[in-house]
Amino acid sequence: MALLSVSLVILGIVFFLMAVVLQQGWMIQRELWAVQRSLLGNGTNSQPVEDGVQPGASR
Amino acid sequence: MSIRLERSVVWIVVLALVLYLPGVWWGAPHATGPDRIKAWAVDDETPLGPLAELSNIAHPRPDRNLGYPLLYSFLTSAAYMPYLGYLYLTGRFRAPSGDYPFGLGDPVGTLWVLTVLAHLLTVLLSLGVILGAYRAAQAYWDRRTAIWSALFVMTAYPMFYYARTGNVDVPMLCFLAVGYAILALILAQGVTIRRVALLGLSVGLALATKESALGVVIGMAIAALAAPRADGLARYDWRNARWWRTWGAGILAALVALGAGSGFFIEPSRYLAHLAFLTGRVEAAPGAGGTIPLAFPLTMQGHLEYLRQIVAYLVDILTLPGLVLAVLGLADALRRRPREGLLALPGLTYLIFIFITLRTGQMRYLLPAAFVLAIFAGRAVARGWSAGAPAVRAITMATALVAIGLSVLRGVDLTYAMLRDSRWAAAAWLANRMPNGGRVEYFGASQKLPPLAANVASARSADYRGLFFEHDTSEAKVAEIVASWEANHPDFILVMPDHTSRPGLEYDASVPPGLYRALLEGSLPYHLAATFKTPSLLSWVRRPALDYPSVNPPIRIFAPAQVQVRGTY
Repeated sequence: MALLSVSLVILGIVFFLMAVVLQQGWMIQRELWAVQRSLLGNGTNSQPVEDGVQPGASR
Repeated sequence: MSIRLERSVVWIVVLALVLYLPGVWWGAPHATGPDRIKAWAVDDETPLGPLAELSNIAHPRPDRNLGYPLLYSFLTSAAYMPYLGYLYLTGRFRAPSGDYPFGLGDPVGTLWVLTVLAHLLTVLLSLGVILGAYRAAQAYWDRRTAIWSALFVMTAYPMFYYARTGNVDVPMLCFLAVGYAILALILAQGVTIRRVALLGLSVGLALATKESALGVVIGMAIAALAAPRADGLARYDWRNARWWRTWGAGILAALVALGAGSGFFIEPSRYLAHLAFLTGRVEAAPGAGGTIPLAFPLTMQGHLEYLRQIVAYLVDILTLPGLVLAVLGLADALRRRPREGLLALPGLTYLIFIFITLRTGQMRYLLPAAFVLAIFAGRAVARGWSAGAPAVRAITMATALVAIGLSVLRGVDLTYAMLRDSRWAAAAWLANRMPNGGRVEYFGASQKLPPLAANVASARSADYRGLFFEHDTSEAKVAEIVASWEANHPDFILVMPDHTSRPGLEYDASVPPGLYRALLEGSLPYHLAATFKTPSLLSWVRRPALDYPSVNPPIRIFAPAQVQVRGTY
């Protein structure tokens, strides 16, 4: 039971760390879209960049 | 029951992660609106389904999903909790709500992260499937068989998809695989109370994930009952008190695991409603009350067609050489020691179970049977490898390498299609042409749509009633749809297949065929502006179709006739 509890705590930490890494990745992606949009300046959609998918975007 | 950290186990885990992790983010929604919060994969309840089910326990909503027991929701929500707690503490999830944007400061980013977390949990559970196969073969035979069995299970074609989504099939298979490994230990070394209790625990968790596990559980129970006691106790049968203690412990463990995992102990009425839903006795729930299409009738012709379909799916999952090896491995085991057939019994009872109860064609439904067969394929290779005759050895190895090599290439091709899904190119194309505050119309399920910006309105052009209901595709409906386009002036109209599409059709069941033909012919105010579908990376490997056209579906975008754009991407 102790081993199970420790394993679950470790798993919780692992999932938390993965979430933080994923969130950072998401924020970097959003910044990249912003840069891409300002450099290319194309498209007719003037929405805030964080709400939109930019040309060539892929994750 | 333990997995020792052998070098081969480490390599198998690393290889599985290399194969499964790319594309684990496939299908995560771009949640810029309340109709864009679901993952692309059919029956993938992530990101919010598990949380909604937990919320429904306290505050039931009429649209709650009764399709599955609750263990997967519990597991996924547990994986979410550290991150959601972090968001709450940092002020980005202050007022949780059941409606978009759910109290989230950044619903687009958060739902993306939650989906990928859930998919990573599935990858983790897929490792349990592979290591379950490894441990079962090691316990009953030897390490060489274990390695080959793990490789056959790992490269089974649908694993490349279902190990990366939020479907319950791999989680259920994980618990079954753990149970199967314990069964192998029981058959190899005998019955103990601890082993039977652990077997009960694992099958209870499998049943609490998806009830179709019952087909495997029946075979496991019969096989375990036929096993001898570990201590060699004579006269060990139902007249003996130890027999009752042993199996009582197993049944108790299974019931506790099922009751806790399924949510029965927390909300019995929900579990009973779920069972009623499964048996078609619920009319007022999403997806209930309709007719299941493509069912095989209970006639001789229906039986034969269903049987042919099952074999075809097993070939798709294992490849033909892989299935041949599995049959040879099973035949060899039965010839040498008929008792080895007990290990195949769970696969057989599962096939009988789905033959009687399911009657619908889905590749994923065959995964538990393919799991058992893959282990016998591994056994055939290990036996062939140790055969005295060089010719037998060479033929066995060549067959195994063709089977596993073809499976890996098909997996690579599928992964490429997931990474280069047509939705990304379509989304970029739309973003580049959509006027500010533009409007997109579409047909069918909203979860399949390419990512759309927040300021783009989206609406269905026709009523959508899901998989189990007929849709109105009459001429009158066509006229009604065209009239609505003339009134609403959508900037673009999207047509793409989904899980309701009839085989081979590139549009969903709510699209009138006459309307689709007219759109392609250009006889309507809208004409074809762009088509998206990423070409296959390895077309020659003839990758089998998945259960639904979810990955890299052909997307056709229609624009007003005066807009002069046309292309294939």
